[in-house]
Amino acid sequence: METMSTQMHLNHKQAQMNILAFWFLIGAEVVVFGCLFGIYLAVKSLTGQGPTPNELFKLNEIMLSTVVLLTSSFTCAIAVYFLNLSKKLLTLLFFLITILLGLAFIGLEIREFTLYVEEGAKISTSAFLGAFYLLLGTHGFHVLFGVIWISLLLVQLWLKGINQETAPKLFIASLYWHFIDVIWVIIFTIVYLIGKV
Amino acid sequence: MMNVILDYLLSLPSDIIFADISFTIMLIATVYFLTKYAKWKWLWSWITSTDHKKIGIMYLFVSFLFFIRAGIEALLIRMQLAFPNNEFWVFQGERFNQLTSTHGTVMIFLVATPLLIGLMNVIVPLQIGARDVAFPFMNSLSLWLFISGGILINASFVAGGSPNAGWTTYAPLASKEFTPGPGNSYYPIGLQVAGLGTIMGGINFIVTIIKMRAPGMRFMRMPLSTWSMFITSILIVYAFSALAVALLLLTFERLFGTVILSASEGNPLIWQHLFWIFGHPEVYIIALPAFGIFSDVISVFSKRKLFGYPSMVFAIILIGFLGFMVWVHHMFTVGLNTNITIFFALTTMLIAVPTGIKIFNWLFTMRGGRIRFDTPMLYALGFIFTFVIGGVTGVMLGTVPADYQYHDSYFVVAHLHYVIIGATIFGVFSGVYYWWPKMFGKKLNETLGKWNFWTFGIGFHITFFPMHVMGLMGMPRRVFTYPEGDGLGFLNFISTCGAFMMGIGVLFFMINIYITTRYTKKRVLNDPWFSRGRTLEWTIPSPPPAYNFARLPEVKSREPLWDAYERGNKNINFIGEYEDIHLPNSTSLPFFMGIGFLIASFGFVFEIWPVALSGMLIVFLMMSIRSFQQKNGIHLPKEKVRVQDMRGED
Amino acid sequence: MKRLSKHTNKEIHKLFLSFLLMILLTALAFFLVLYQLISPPFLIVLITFFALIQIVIQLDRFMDIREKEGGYRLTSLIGGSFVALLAIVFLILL
Repeated sequence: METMSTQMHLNHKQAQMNILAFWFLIGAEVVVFGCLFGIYLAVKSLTGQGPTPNELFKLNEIMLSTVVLLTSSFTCAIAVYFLNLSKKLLTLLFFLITILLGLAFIGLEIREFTLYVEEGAKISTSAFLGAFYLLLGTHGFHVLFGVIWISLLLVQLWLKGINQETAPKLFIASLYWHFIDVIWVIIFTIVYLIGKV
Repeated sequence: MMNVILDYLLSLPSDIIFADISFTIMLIATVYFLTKYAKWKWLWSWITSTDHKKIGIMYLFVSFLFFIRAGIEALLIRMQLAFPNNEFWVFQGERFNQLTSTHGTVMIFLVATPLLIGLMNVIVPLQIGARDVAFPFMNSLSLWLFISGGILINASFVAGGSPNAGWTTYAPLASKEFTPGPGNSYYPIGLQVAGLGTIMGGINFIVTIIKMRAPGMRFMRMPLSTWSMFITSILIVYAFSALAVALLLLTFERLFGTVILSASEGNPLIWQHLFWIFGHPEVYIIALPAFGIFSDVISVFSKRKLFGYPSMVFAIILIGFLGFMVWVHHMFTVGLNTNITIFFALTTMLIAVPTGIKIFNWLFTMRGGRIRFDTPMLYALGFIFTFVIGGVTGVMLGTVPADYQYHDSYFVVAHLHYVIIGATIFGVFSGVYYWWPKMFGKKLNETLGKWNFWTFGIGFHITFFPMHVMGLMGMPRRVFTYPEGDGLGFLNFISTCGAFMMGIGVLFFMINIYITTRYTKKRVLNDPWFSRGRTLEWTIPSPPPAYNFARLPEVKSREPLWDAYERGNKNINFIGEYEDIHLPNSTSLPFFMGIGFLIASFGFVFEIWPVALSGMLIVFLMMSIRSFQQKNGIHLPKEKVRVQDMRGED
Repeated sequence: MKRLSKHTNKEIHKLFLSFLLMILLTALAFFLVLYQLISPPFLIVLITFFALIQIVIQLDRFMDIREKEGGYRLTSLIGGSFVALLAIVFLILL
């Protein structure tokens, strides 16, 4: 019975419209990140006085943030799984783990950037670095936004429980989180790995 | 303190003082009249409204104000160019660049696009038989983001200088190195805010059309206006995202010192690519809805079924698709690889095919029809004539070797005004005359409408036709004067006369609105167009009740109302039962979010970070409040709906 | 009730397997690049392919792209990817 109720919340007309709208927002975001990747690839070789990608990146630490974000995506999927079972506390728990991992990711990224800046790789040093910070910064900002958004939703989940209002919101937030993860997979491959090849 | 302010004011150039004074007078007058007639509450009810019809009307009203402003700029431009070596007022050099830049920016982003979005708001739910749009709150938010972006770009003139790198704001001219000062920061930040609103609007209409059609309203039964607005919404979502990135890039370039667009260390062509990846679909974003409006208008006023409906739909989709693959034709002269250039020249010419299909379908619709020449139809006919000329010059510009001759000359100016005014502005006039009775319950005065059309239309051709010749004679665009010996004086003078004629045309339109609102007593019924209406919006009262449809209509064909007329009925059958109707609450949050964005944007433009941060905090606070709000809405009991509906039918 | 729990376990297993596969692919790509085992052009193609698999897993397993109205969801994504791809290609060709 309880499985039904969350599904019913998600199948409600307004919820279905919200989810569809969110998919079109994802379509728009694909263009946004596509253009940012295009900019990055166009100026990748224009390193001027600054370091080249190969000199700059430290793969081991990037690997760590990648694992952190991938795991957060997994815990997010688990949270939605419990949401479907209408298990309030478990949903809450796994979303909490998700945002903590998200915070860890942001922390790692800030540390990485400060390290680069200390090495003299500033945003204005070269076109490559400008595009790099623009792309990574936009992604990092999305992660931060996701963390804040999901925390607000968790407060609502705590206060109101799983109902017609909270269930679709949490589901959409999970879509957002997975999408950020997809973008990170592409960043990891195109920016970091190929930058090291 | 007073002395400092006075000194500052006196040090300003005369045009800014003039703008300041006229703005202050208008503000005082507005406040005075609102207070005198006790209309503040009424104003607030509009500001907080989530009714799609009211939001649409506000879109139309605000973008009409911007239209007036940018129109006055056009007149100033023409005055400066009226004679060789002219020195009109202060509009030479830098000031002239600001004029042309803001004229273009405002007309494209704050007039053409929102005017059509305004019509979309009013019309789409009515045409698909829906009680509202999918996201009323987001709709209101779109409006207020558009308005705050618009205010920002318009305020630039009196606060720190306008953008002056052309409406395309090419880098590296637009970077801090060459244009310091806040002027060119207004452009990316203001448009970013307005563009965000536009993307939301696009998503809103996509979902509305996919999910909220009345029973039986299949995709292939939707009126052409709705179809074109659907495709436009899709284009908006993808194209404006590309613009968002371009603007973000320029913002970073100006505020945080990146060098991606710099000529020495980066590559300025990135801006051109991104801008035109947005810019060309934008042309179709503002042209397609006009095509849809003309399809409806031509069919109604010819009393004929639209010829070739499926091919019309197919043509719209094809234009939308191809529209994304032609942008490099704006950049032929930058010297890209020949193969790339040829590819884009071919796709450009390919677009002429679906557009040609549409033109022929309109002509065949009229053939054998009983045509009435009312103002909406006059605009539609004027459009066909004008747009064919614009289309032909478009194909000419798409020819690569010839483009090297036309590029950056008045020929381009003539072409773009022929297509944009010919399609969008004619389309909006046509649509506004056509749907005015539906919006306000009164018909606009037909005599003044005809005066409006003929002065505006003839004035248009007098203004812009000579520009083709000027361009071929070698007059470059964006110059503030030309020497006497070039033989351009006569053509330019004619063009200036035409511009003032267009101004008179717009004046007729304003007088028409005033007279109709003030003196016309006659209220129209459901279908004011001589019982020729074909689509769902004419089956309900004018103006419609807040919930549009008391009972949901049943749609069995493409032209439900016309089919009912054919069967001798006065209206279509409404199959739905009366039911409790749920209406969205009014809300002031979007308004305050708009204010938050406005504050933040000023902070960013002048690089005062505390202001920017506090503005963003306001936005974030409003979003949080919204997130925690209970969305109850208003429930209208079915008895009340039934009583209202019965009264309407008498 | 028993069927439900069995069903649940299966679901969790699926999610976990997807996650494992993603970590594995990431690690594989990482080590391939770290030790430069393969010649660069082929390596780039290979790790891009790995990334594509991961994206498909995320979309399919975690984001339910195929569910009911998969049509619209996929269309939105394909539309965005089409425009993004055009932008990327011509910015690289710059």
